[in-house]
Amino acid sequence: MREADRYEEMEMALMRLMPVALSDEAQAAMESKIDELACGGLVRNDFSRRAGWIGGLAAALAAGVFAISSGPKETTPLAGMEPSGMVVLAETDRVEEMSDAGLFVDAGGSAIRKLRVRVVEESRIRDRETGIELTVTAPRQETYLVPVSTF
Amino acid sequence: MAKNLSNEWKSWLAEQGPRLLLFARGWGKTREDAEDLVQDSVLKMWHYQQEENRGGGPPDLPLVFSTIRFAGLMLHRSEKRRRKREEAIIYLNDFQDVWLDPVMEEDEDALRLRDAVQNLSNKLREVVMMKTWGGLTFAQISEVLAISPNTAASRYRYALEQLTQDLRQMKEERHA
Repeated sequence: MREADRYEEMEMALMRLMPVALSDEAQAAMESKIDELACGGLVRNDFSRRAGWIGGLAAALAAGVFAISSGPKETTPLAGMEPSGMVVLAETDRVEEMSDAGLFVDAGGSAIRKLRVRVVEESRIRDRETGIELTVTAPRQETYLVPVSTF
Repeated sequence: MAKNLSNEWKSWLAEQGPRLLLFARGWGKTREDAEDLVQDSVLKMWHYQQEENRGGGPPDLPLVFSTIRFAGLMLHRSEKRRRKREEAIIYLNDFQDVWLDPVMEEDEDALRLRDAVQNLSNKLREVVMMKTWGGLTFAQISEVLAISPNTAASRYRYALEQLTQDLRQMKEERHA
């Protein structure tokens, strides 16, 4: 028998086997994690789409309205909000948590350590017209990739 | 948007999960270990894919295989340390704990081939798994394993030869 035919025969034989599925528990756990992450991702993207402190203001106010009304549709009027008449009194960035998100290998085969940092940006803002002062809290998550050369 | 992304990942997991699990079996001592490796790697991939310019969707298979392999190496290192501490404990394997299932029931040759695949050395087995059930090309396999495509191809051929020999030997023993 020719070598190529022999390989082909074995390949056909291997195709008579199929990988075993993930257990129901593992599949369900992963799907639930994906759902959690997808929801988390949406919040993070909302923050990142807005620029500067007004973004934080909109997000924080949106969260406030949501808390009071318990209905996500109530956030719609905030879309047209303008920063005019608002004065930023103080801004701070506070690192709340830093965690090691593990090691992974990039497409080039290099080992990289991922560090996840949770930062809370706080801004104190005054409305010139009414004199009302607001403290706006905008959490965000940053990821740092650090190349690993030794283990 | 989040729902779409989540559904996209879930259907990807449903399709690729068995392939990922099979590959992870080469690194995990038990099925549970392998499932943990798959879960860790999928979550790492999630975060990786959410970074800028990666689109957020499910990753390419070769990249996940690389991540599983790396996670497996890390597990192997910590396992070795753990084993030293727990030498007195005897682990009982589940007799139904198999890596591959025959497509057709009662296919005895396929069952023997399954044993032969499981008995291949790790080096050869991972190439066979990525090529046969992962559908990767030799170029992709070479990226995952950081070897040349020629080496990947020759390991594959060598594995097929070894499987052929093992099967022949198993048949001879059965008829003896």
